[in-house]
Amino acid sequence: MQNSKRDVLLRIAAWAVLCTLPWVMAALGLLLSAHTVCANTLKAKQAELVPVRLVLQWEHQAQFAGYYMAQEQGYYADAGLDLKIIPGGAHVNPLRMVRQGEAEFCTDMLASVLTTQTDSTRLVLLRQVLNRSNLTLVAWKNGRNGDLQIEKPSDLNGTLITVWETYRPAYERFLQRYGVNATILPQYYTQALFLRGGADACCAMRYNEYHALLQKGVRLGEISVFDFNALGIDVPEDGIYTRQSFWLEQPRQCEAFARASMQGWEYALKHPQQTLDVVMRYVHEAQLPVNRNHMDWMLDVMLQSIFPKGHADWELGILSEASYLNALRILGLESTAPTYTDFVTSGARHALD
Amino acid sequence: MPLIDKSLFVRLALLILTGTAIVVLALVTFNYFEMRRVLLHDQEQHYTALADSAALKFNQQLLELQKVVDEAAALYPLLPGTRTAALQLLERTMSTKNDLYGSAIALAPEQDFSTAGFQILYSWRGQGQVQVIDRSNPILDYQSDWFYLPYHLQRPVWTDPYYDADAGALMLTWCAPVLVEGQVRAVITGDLSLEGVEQYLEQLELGHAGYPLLVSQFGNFLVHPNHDWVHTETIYSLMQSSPAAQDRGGLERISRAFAQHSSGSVRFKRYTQDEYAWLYFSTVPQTGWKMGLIIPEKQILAPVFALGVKTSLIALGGILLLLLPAFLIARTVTKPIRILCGAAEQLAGGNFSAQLPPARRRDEIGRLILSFAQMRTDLRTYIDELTTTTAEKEKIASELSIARDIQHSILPKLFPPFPQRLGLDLFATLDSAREVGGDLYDFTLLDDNRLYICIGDVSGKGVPASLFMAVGKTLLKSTIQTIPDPAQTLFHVNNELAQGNDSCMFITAFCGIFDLTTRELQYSNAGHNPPVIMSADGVRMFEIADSPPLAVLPDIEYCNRRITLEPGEKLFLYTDGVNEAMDPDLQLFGEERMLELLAHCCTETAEASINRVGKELKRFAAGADQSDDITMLCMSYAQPSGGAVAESSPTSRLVLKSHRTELPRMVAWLEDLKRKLGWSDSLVTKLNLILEEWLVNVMSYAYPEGETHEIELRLWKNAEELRIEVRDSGIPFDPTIAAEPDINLPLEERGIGGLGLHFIRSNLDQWSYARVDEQNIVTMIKKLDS
Repeated sequence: MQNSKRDVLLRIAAWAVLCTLPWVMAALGLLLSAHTVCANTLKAKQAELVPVRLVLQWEHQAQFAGYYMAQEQGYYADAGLDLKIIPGGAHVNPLRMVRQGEAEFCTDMLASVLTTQTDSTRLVLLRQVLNRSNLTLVAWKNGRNGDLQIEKPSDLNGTLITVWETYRPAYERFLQRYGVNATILPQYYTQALFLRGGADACCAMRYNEYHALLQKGVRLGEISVFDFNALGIDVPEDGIYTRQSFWLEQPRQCEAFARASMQGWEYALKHPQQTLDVVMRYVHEAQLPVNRNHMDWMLDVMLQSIFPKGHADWELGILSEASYLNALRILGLESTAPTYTDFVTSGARHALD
Repeated sequence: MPLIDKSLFVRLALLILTGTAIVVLALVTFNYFEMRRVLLHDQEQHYTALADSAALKFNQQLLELQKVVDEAAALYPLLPGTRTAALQLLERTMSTKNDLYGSAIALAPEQDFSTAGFQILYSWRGQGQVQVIDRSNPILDYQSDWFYLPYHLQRPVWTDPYYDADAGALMLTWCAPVLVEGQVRAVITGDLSLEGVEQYLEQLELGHAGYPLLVSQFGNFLVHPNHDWVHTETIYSLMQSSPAAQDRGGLERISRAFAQHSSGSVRFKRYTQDEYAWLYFSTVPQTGWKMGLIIPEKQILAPVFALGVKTSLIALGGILLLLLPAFLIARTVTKPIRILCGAAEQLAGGNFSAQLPPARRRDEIGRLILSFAQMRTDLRTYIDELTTTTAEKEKIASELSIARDIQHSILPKLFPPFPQRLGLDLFATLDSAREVGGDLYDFTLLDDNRLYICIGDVSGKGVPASLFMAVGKTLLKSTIQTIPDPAQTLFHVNNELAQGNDSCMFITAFCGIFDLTTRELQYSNAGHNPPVIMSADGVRMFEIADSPPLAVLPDIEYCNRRITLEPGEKLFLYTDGVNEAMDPDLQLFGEERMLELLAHCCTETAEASINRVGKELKRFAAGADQSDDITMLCMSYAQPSGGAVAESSPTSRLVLKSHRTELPRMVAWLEDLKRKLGWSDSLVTKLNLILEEWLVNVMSYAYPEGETHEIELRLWKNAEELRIEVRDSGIPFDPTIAAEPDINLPLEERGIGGLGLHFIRSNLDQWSYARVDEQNIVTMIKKLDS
């Protein structure tokens, strides 16, 4: 009984399917053809834009506001580029990615690029974005154990200092200048050791770590801040890089990208609040634990370091030869580093060059 | 307001109510604030204890995990440094503590990894079972806090909390270094999910608006109802970014409390809100984290508010209920006062018998009623006494008035005194300073040719002086009538008065006898002011002997002096009330002023002169009280040219006003004479008709219409005949030569008074007319029947 009943049901179902199938097929065919048409027009448009990738040197933050705004305002598209922004982080090595062809462009610090420069896959500078050093050394005024008095550089003698590897030469030069003999430990992504009293002093970027310390309840009266820019140990920082081979192949594309990027920064300068909104959107999408106030501070300091103002001795986006040589001297790379003309593309050179 | 002002009752009732309301209000207010204080204190204890227990509970969890990891770190050097041993240790660690999320064993970078067979092993609870892996990026791990911190600090440490995507929860890690001979050989860690703490905190009973708070030692929000803040904002970042000073201040207070106390409470205004909240917090000892409970003040105080509303309503109801007793009390208290008030109003209207409220009470009102009753009795007595005294005073006053009348009646006051003595002009006045006075004057004809005049002043004033004056005056007059010699008279009177003069009173007196034929004045003076003689050539004073006044010493000899009064000269006698009259400044009138004044009066009649002096004295006194009696006597004598000089005085004399209403006085005068002289009725009737006829004639025609003048009647009588003179100062009219009336003429055509004159003439024996001194004198003679 049960089997015969099931057979009847199956038969009815099969008949029904057979009857409706042609209609369904026809409908599907219509849909597919429409989709193809749409996709084709999209492709046609995108075909005009050249896909390129930019790797940021760290996670999303206001440090990269200019690129977000250039993307947002369509400056890259205007330049014929379809840009993908890849955020950095502890697991990401932008320089390696560009050298290995995983990305066309990256942002990174001059010091990082020069210390990792190899002859095989050289990187060239498209624009020197930050011409001012934001490097500082922050020290507990009374030392980690509360038994010292650190007011001036020479007071650092005998202390324990944590330092980023990239800037170790710069810090050593600084200590050397004041005849300071200090124990140096590597510093990585946090200042936890300094905050827990495990070090007398630590590195801090003015736009980031310095402000983060203040947001963690460190009071200005508790710390002494040594500003490297003020002390004349001025290594220019973020720049836009590409690998030399790509630059040689696509100089126009590279230049267009660099110009669009700087255009983005200029937009950010004029519209800081809108820029901050965009930054926060990137930050939220990446679920990063940063607050708006911190991003605001960071954007402000970034813009101060990018755009020359008053007595600033740089030009927007340009790395002067003197500045380059000075950086090499500070970083102790005079012998190994490439020449100015090899390293700096024409777009980042002085207009007269 | 007017009702309050008018009614004591309303005021009292309101006072009671207001007082009660104030007390109740104070109680309600005190109750509210006290309850509030108590409740806040209570809640602080409760919530702080709750926060303390949460913190301790969490800390206990941390300690337990620390213990497990520390044990592993202590155990590790004792184990063989192989992968198997490490895996066994991890398994043991994970199984010892169920809420351990994960654990790692990381060899220090200096170690020989190939011998150990591993570099970093990590075990964690995933998908219901414990899993173990080799970490893929050891370099990155070495740079992470969980390795970096214990490696460099060489002591176990808690990392900052971080969000672990695999666990899907907030984590923190306890990382302990494995120390061998001062070298960190490895780091062993234990991960703890904060999920448990979050759940525990969220289950706490904090009321509908309360919420929990978890903040790291660096101010990071780990648990907060605002999820945007969690992990991104810190207390300090909010402090930097808050635009409102109020929010910055609240955060500042909280951060200070966190820094200074391990547990406590802070009152602050809620972030971007306008209401207060309380933060009760406690510290987790192991991490320095703050566990807090935030309760809005409104929620804490809600019971106090409810209680406040209830007590206020009860108080209001109580006050409303109190209205009735308050009004009753006020009524009871004010009732006797209201009755008393009514009684007082009646008393003021003169009703002494008004009903007073019964004075049963012993309080102020009772005393007031008693006092009021006493006052009423006293008033009644006083009024009675006053009535008696006033009656007595009035009696005395009336007696004094009578005495004054009597005193004045003994002085001659009929002027002119001797009308039959033509040419003799004499006038005198006495003006007493009090009811009765001590001055005297007198005059009389001793015989046909000798006139006695006298003026005197008794020492002192009032009743005694007046009595003494009466005695003196009477004595002088009676004496001089017996002994017509002034000096002798004074001598005798003095002796008479000096006898038994215990009251030591005395009289100054001037008296004289004027001979009308010789014009010689014989006079004597007893201490009186010298009289004045006035003439057209001037005024002069008498020369008088300096002799003492009467009644001082007996047997004093007074001497007579003589002086002749020339025609046109006037004699002026006065007392010291004239020359010693005083003005308000106590200045004396003085003799000089008096003499000067008299110099202007020498041509006037005696009466006019005296009136003038009297008027001047009044003007001088200018309202000042008269200090002494003022007495003046003025006399002159002009020798008549006719034979009338020797004419004797009339038997009687009457002066009438020129008006018909005076006629009855004439009738009365005749009736009086009839009684005295024993006339027959027919004679009186005839005289009456004659006089009335003539007087009506004079009154009707002698004067212009509306004017009133005097008409004088003089009557002489001897054994044979009656002689009547009628004098008027009207227009000249001689009735004796008036035409005989024609009796045959009709009445309307006859002349005025014709028949009347005819009647007069036919009823008289003789009549004559004379015009003397602008006066008509009609003399009528009627023979008397024998």
